[in-house]
Amino acid sequence: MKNNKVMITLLYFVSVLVLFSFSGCSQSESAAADSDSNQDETVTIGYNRFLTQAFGPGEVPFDFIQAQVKATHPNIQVELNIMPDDTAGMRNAIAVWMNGRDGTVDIYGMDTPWVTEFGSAGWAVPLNGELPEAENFVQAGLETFTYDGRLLAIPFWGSVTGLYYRKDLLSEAGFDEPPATIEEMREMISTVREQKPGITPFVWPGGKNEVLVMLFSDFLHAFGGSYLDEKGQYAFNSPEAVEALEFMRSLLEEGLSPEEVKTWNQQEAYRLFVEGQALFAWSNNDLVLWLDDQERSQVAGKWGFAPSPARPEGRRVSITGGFGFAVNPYSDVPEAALKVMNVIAGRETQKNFALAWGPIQYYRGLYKDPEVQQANPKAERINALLPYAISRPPAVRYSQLSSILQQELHSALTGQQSSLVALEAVNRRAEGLQ
Amino acid sequence: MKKTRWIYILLSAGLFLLIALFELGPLMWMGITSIKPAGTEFRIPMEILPVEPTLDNYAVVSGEDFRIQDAILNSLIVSGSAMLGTLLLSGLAAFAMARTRVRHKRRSFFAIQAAGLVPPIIIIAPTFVLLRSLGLLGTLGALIIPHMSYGIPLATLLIAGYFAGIPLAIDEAARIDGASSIRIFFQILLPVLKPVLFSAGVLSFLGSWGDFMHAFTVSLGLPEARTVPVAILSFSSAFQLQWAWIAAGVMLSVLPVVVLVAVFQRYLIGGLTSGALS
Amino acid sequence: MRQSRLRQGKTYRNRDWGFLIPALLCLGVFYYYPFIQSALYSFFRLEYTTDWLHAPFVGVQNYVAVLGSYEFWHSLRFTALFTLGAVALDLSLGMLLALSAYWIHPFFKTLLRIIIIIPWAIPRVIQASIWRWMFNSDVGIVGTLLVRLGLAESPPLFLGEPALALMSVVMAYVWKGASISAVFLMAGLASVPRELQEASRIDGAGGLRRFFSVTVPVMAPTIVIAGLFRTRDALRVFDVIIGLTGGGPGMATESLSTYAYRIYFDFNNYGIGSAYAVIIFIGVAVLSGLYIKRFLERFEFVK
Repeated sequence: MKNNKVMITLLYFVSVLVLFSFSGCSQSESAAADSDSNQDETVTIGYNRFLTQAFGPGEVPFDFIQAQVKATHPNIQVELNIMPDDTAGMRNAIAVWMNGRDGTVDIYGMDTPWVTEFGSAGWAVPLNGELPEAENFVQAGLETFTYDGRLLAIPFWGSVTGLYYRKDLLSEAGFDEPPATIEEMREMISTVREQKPGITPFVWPGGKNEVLVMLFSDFLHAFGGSYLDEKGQYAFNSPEAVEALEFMRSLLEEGLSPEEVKTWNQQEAYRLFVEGQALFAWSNNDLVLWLDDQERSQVAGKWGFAPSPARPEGRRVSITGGFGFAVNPYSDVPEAALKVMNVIAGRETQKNFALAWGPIQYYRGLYKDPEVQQANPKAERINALLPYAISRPPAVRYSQLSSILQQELHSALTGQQSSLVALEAVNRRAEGLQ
Repeated sequence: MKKTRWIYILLSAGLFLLIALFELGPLMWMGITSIKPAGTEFRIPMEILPVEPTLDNYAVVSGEDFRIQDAILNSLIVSGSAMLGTLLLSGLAAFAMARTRVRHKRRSFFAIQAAGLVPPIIIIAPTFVLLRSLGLLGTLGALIIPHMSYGIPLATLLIAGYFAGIPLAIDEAARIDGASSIRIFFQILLPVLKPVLFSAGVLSFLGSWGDFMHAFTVSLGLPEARTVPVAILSFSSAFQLQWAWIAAGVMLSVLPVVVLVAVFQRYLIGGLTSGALS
Repeated sequence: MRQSRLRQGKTYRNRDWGFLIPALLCLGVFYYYPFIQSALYSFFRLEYTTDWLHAPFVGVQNYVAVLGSYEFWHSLRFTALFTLGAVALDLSLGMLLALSAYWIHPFFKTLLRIIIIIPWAIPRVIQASIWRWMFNSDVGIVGTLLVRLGLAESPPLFLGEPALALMSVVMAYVWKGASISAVFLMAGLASVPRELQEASRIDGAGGLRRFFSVTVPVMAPTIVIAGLFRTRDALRVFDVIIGLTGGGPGMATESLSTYAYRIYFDFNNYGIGSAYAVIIFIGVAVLSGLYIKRFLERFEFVK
C-alpha cells in the first residue's frame, strides 16, 4: 500500500517534469494549427540587435520591413530572432541550425565572406528568378553574393574600409590632402607630432579577429602583393606580403601605434579617434554614422575618409564587407519567405536602409534620390572609395583560411615568430583551400 | 593571556580581510563598474570610483531590451528542476549499487562515471538534432532534461560514497522487518542522506546554472529560452562591449547563487566528507 | 521460511534493477548516444554536414591527420603546461584557504567559508568576463593599480603579450579553482582527528612540523582526490580561455578543447573535430580510469 503511494508520487513527479518541458512545444504546435486555419504565416528573420536600431534619419529597419510586409501581404507576420552581435557568433548559430536542419529562422543575414562556404554547403536557397526586384540591382552587388551562378542573398548593407584622418590637424600642419603614399603618411605624422606631441599617430584593429585579415589584405595590396600568384596558388609568402606585415610591426616598434592595438577589435580601435586623440585610424565606414554626432564624438566636422595609402608600386585598395539576407533551405514557409525577401529587395526597404544605416546600396539609382543624398552628406566621400573596392582573399573554406591568417598574423604581430615564418606557415597551412 | 587573545583576533581579522579581498575583489570591482554611467568606464585616465554613480545600468538590463530578470527566472527553473531530477535519479542509482543485490554493479558504476568524462563539444551537435526531433528546441525542457543527465555522474559518485558511512545495520534491520527496497530508500535512508543530498544538490545546481555552450545552442536565440550566461554574453551595442551593462547583469545574476551558497555552505562541506574522500 | 527468504532475495534483484534504469537511460540518451554518433563521424570525411550516410568513409585518416598536425601537439603542450601550473597553484592556494578557515577565530569562521566558496558559484563564462574586464589594457583595474603603485609605467598588455596572457589565463582560472580545491580540502581537514593534533602538540612539535608530519599524511587521500578532480577539469579548460584571449595572442593560449571547438564550429569539419574530441576523451578517461578503479576497490559493494 505504502509502496503504491511512493510509486504514485514518483510517477507524478516525473510526469510533471515531462509535461513542463513539453509545454513549450505544445504552444508552438497549437500556434501552427491556428495559422494553418487562418492562412496566416509567420516568417522569422534572423539578425543581430542592430536591425532594431537606426543610426540616421530612417526608420528602424525591422519595423520598416514589418510594416511593408503588412501593407503588401497582410497574412504574413514577420518576426525577429535576435542573434549574437558578432559575426562569428552569428555564423556558429547558423551552422548549428543547418546541421540540425532547423527551420525556426526562415531568413538570415549572410556576411560577404561566407558566400563561398554557404554556397558549397547548400545552406541558402538559390534566388535566381525568384525575386522580381532583383532585376533592379547593380550587377556588382549581386555578384558579391553569388556562388557558382546561384544568387544566394540580397544585399542590404555594404561597407568599405579606409583611412580616417583629422582634416584640421593636417591642414594646421600644412597638408591639404590625405596621404596617398606611405611615405607621405610618415611625413605627415612626424610634422603633426612636432606640433602636438601627445597625439597618437595611427590606430588600427590588430586584435586576433576577422578585421585583422581585412587590414592585412589592405596593406598586402598597398605593398604590391596579391592573394594569388600566376599559377592560382596562394601568395601570402611573397616578399611584398612580408614587407606589408613588417610594416605593421614597425608601426608598433616605432611607437606610431600604441601596443594595445594588438588586443583591439574594430570598436576598441576607433575609440581614440572618436575622442580626438588620434591622427589616423583604419576602419570601415561604420564610423561615419556618428562621427559628426556632437554628443558621441569629439571630432565632429574635423575628419576625412580616404582609401589607405600605398607604396608607389602597390595599389590603394578598400576592402568590402556587407550583409545580405538569404533564405534557409529548411524553412517551413519557403514561399512566404520569398515574398518577404522581395519586399526586402524592394526600393522602399532598400531606401530605408540607406537612410537608417548608410549610403552603400546596390539598388539602381538609389544614390540619386534626394532624401538619400540629404541623409548621407558623406555619401560622396564613401562612394568615392567604391572604385578601389576589392573583396577578401578567395577561398572555398574561407573561415578556415581566415582562422589560419588570424593566428599566424597575430603571432607575428606579438613577436612570437618572424613575419617570414608566419607567412610561410599561412601558405603551407592554407594549401588546398583555394 | 589577554594579550595573545587580542593578537589572535587581530591576525584573524587581517587574514579575513586579505582573503576577502582576493576572493571578492573581482566581484567588488564589477559592482563599482556597474554603477558608473555607461560609456564612462572607458575614460582615460581611469577613475577608480565613479564620479557620478548611477543605477541606470541596472535599469537598462532589466528594461525592455534585455530583461535579465527573465533570464534569471529561466535559470532558476532550469537549474532547480534539473537538480531535483538529478538527485532523484542519482540517489536511486547509488542506492541500487551500494545497498541492493542487483547484478552488474561494477559495470553500472563504470558506465555512469565514464559518461562524465565525455568532453562537452562532442555531444552538442547530435544532442541538438535529438532535441529538435523531440520538438523541444527553444523551450526550457531542452535544458532541464539534458542538465539532469549531465549531473548524474558526479551526484552518483558523491551519494554512493556517502553510503559507505552509513552502517548497513539500518538496512538489515528494515529488511528483516520485511520492508521493500523502495521503502528502505525513501523512508529510512533518505533522511540520513540529507547532508550529501544538499551538497550534491548544490553542485548539480551550480553545474546547470553555469552551463553556456549547451544553453546557447539550444536556445535558438529565443529570449524565452535564455539562461543567465547566454543573456549576459549578449550585452553589447553598436559602439562597444558595454561593460557597465555587463557588470550590472553580472551583479544581478550572481545574487541568487551567492545566497544559495551562503545558506547551504555547511552542508556543502559536510556532505563531501566520508566515502568519496577518505 | 527459507523458501520465502529465497524468494525475497529474488524479488530484490528483480525490482531493484528498476532503481538503476532511469539514471542509465538518461545517460544513454544524453551522453552515450551523442558520443557514439560523434565518434562515428570521426571515421568519415564530413565538412559542413553531419550526414554520414552519404559521406565518404575514411577509416582512421582523420585520426592520422590530427596526430600529425602541428596544431594538435602545440595545443597539447599548452594544455599540459597549463594543467601542471594551474593544478599546483589550485592545490596550494586551496590548502592555504582551507587552513585559514580552520585556524581563524570562530567569529570569522562562517563568513570566511562563505567568502571562500563564492567564486565557485560564479559560472565560468561570467568568471571569464569579469577577469577580461579586470585585465583590460586600457582601463582594467589590475593594470591601473600596478601603475598607481609604481610597479609599471603603463598598464601591461595582459591579454596581448604571450607570456602575460598565459599568466592571466592561469590566474583567472585559479581564482575559481582555489575555491573548489579549498572546499574539498576543508572537508578533508575536518576529518583529521583532533587527538592526533593534540598528541603531537604535547610531544612538542611546532606548528609547521605538525602540519607536515601529521596533517598532510592523514589528508593525503583527500589531496589526491582533489588533485585528480582539478586535473580532469584543467585538461578540459575552455571557457576561461575563450573568454579572455580567444586562444591568442597568435596561438599562445590555444588549448585542446578550444582548438577542437574551432575545428567543429569555425571550420565545420565534423570529421576531424570529432576525431580530436575522441582523442581528448581517451586521454582524460585513461587518467580518470585509474581513480575510478581505486574508488571501486576501497568502496565495498554489498555482495
